[in-house]
Amino acid sequence: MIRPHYILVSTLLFGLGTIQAAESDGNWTMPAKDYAATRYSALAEINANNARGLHPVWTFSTGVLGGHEGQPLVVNNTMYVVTPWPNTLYAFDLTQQGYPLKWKYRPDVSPNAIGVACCDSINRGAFYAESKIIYNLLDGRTVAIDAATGKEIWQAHVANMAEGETTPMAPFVVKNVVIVGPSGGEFGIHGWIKGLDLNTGKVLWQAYNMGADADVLAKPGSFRPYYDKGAELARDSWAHDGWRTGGGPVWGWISYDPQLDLIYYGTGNPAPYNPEQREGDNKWTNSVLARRPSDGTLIWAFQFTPHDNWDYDATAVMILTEMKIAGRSRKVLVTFNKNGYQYTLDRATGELLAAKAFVPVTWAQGIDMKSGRPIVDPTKLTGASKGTVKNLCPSLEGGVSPASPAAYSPRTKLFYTSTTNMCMDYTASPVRHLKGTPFIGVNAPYYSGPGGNLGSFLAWDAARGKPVWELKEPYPAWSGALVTAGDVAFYGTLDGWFKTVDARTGKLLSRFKVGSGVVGNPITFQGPDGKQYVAVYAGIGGDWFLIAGDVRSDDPADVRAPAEVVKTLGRYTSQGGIVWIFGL
Amino acid sequence: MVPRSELMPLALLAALIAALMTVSCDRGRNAGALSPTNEQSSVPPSIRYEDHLWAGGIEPLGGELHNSHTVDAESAKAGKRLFTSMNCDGCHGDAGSGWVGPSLADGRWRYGARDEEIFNSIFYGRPKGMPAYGGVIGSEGVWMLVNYLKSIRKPDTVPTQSWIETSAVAPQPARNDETSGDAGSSDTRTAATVSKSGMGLARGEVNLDTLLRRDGCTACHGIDRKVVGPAFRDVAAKYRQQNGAEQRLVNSTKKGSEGVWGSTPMPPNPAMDDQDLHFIVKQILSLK
Repeated sequence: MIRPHYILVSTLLFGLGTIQAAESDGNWTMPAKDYAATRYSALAEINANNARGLHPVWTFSTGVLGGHEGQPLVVNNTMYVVTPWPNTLYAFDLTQQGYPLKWKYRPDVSPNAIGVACCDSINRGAFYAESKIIYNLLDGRTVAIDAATGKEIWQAHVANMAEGETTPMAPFVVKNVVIVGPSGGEFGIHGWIKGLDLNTGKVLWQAYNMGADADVLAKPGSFRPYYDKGAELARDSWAHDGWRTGGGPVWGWISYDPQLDLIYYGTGNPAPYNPEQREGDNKWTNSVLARRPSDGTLIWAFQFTPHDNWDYDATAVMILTEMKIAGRSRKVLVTFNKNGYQYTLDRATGELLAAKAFVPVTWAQGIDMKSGRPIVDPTKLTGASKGTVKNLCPSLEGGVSPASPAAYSPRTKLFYTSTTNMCMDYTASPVRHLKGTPFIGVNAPYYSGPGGNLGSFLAWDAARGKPVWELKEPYPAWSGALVTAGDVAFYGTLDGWFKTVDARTGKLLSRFKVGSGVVGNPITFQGPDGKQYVAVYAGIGGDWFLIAGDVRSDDPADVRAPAEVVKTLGRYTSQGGIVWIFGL
Repeated sequence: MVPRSELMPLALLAALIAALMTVSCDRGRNAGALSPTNEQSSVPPSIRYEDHLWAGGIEPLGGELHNSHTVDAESAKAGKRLFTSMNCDGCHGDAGSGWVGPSLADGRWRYGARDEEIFNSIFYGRPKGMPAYGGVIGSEGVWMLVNYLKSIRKPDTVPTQSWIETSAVAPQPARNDETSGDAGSSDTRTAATVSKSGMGLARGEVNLDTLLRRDGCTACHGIDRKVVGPAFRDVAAKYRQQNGAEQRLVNSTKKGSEGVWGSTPMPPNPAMDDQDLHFIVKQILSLK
């Protein structure tokens, strides 16, 4: 419904500068809502008392059947949706009934990217900055689109598919620099991160995650890792120069502290999965890195899982908040790692402040607080010479997938996250790097962890290292989380339910079957009518498309037996591609 | 792929087809050829249109590709090893059960089920990211993979997936692979890489030729011809005089090797029987 006075106000705000309108809480301009990556909205109209009245107000089929990860953006009464490959960009006019499209942008994306992307043709979303929509095409290019007209402003070829690199991650824009990274830990890439000029797409800087100091941008005087000393850490922690094909992808999320002027991002697994081919800590895979956004200089780094034996990528979101530790308020970074531990680090220095298991863990006995290193159970080490190592928890899907980012409420002071409760057996084998083909070397069947439920949605108190409430789910929970000032939290399930829960108690307030499993991240925004809405994608995918490939229905040439661990999932979902908007 | 506009005039074509009919991936003659067609031909290989539509009902002419190893259990076994060593399982899942790439064990073929259509898929690659392997393993290796894939037993109940108890629906066989003889009652992927190849055959019963084919060596090496890797006679010439050559070659075959003869890596062969491997290497070193 169009209200003339609201349009006037919006126009004035627009005139004052797009930044102002963009930053209002009615909008959602970047993947995680804000630079701190909280996925928290101050909108409070929807609350625990009225949420049972939440119902669908609009749907739109994207026309695409890949996994719908990521999230829409809402800026200036326009909703922007990026689809999985072929990465169409839709712009919906929220001021008109039925939200018709203003335009759509249809890039020519190579279909080869589908086969080079390890884990489905997903896209993790766009970023709005300076009247541009910036996002990645799966085939290794970043594009900037005019947010008003849909015209392409620039495109930059940043990643090389022939090397096994693809680009599903959501770009991150800060200080006119577009920051992007590749996927390809399963293809033995040499992982990197790049900063592009926001206006032209030209590469301003490039840093590798492994290799010589000069390549990693670890300079004497500025690089101060909290626990490691010496030079060439990211080169000498690899036997036989394994860093060259060592993985270290950047497929997850980025956050930014404007006071410290640091971006934080996690790196993925080392390659290959057979650890005996890459002795050493394999820095800086499975790590969080803090860099200066203007030139990529590495300031500190912390490795969660040195010499990875289990595929514990560290690409989960790093949420920035303040926390009282031992009576003192600290600027921290909180992350739920695939390895099953929730970590709290001082984000200025990389000092480890807390680490607590949030799911069952068997590969380690704990994290040593003095060194920051895990206390690994030697019977849980894997390798080609070790045959099958059994009962490893969490599985290589992680205690939570980095594809499912958590949220933080400054009101409840709780973190909200999906979890996966699965364990695995792990049999490694030797593999050879053949450029452009998988460089893996593992067979790792999954089964459910203790309790029998394959997942949950968890409210976690990071200050005390304890769960507060947990909603068990029959299947792994793979959506991102959203929490609001109305003290309600939102998530979606693999069997296709979109749920609204009380953020303080976990009580289920409403739910709706959205037509396909949810692997994307809900957002909330204010419509032109001043009312609060919630939007989410439905469309199962990501690893769950590969593992439960029997959910596929569109290809008669690909008819798979159901995977034992999720053998009933196909009763509840097939692939899909729908954008949902819910309102009161 | 050779563009169809390069099809030659009919008369010449007919002659070429006749010539092509005799071109196979016979080890003896064309073992070194990386192209499946005769060098003189520019007719696109392996065109079968049975599953395609013909405008006007008129079938275009094309060359034919012959699988000379069809009912050959050894070839399929070698193909199974290649399926792992060439990382096929990284995209298609263990035993072709499906992962990023479609299932190869469901009896359904996106680009056609004929041997030559599967050959083309592997040799030249296909859309959406199936890489071309012809340059790395040659025709010989590709036929081994074709035979392996054809040997995978397909479940009976492919069209229907049911979660309700009915007597009409037979239980789905687990993802297993009949050529390995695994019982495969586990739903999960069989660890094809750790299965052993044939063990310790009596030396009198086999010769070098049999072992080389059984263990997949001929995918990349000929006795007299370079295929992807060096000809065995050239290996012999290089190493025959060196001390400790036998152990060195055994090691590099088991662990894999790269850069000695070229940039294409020799994948590791960890499951090869040591006794057989020493025998093979000894025989190769004695080639003159």
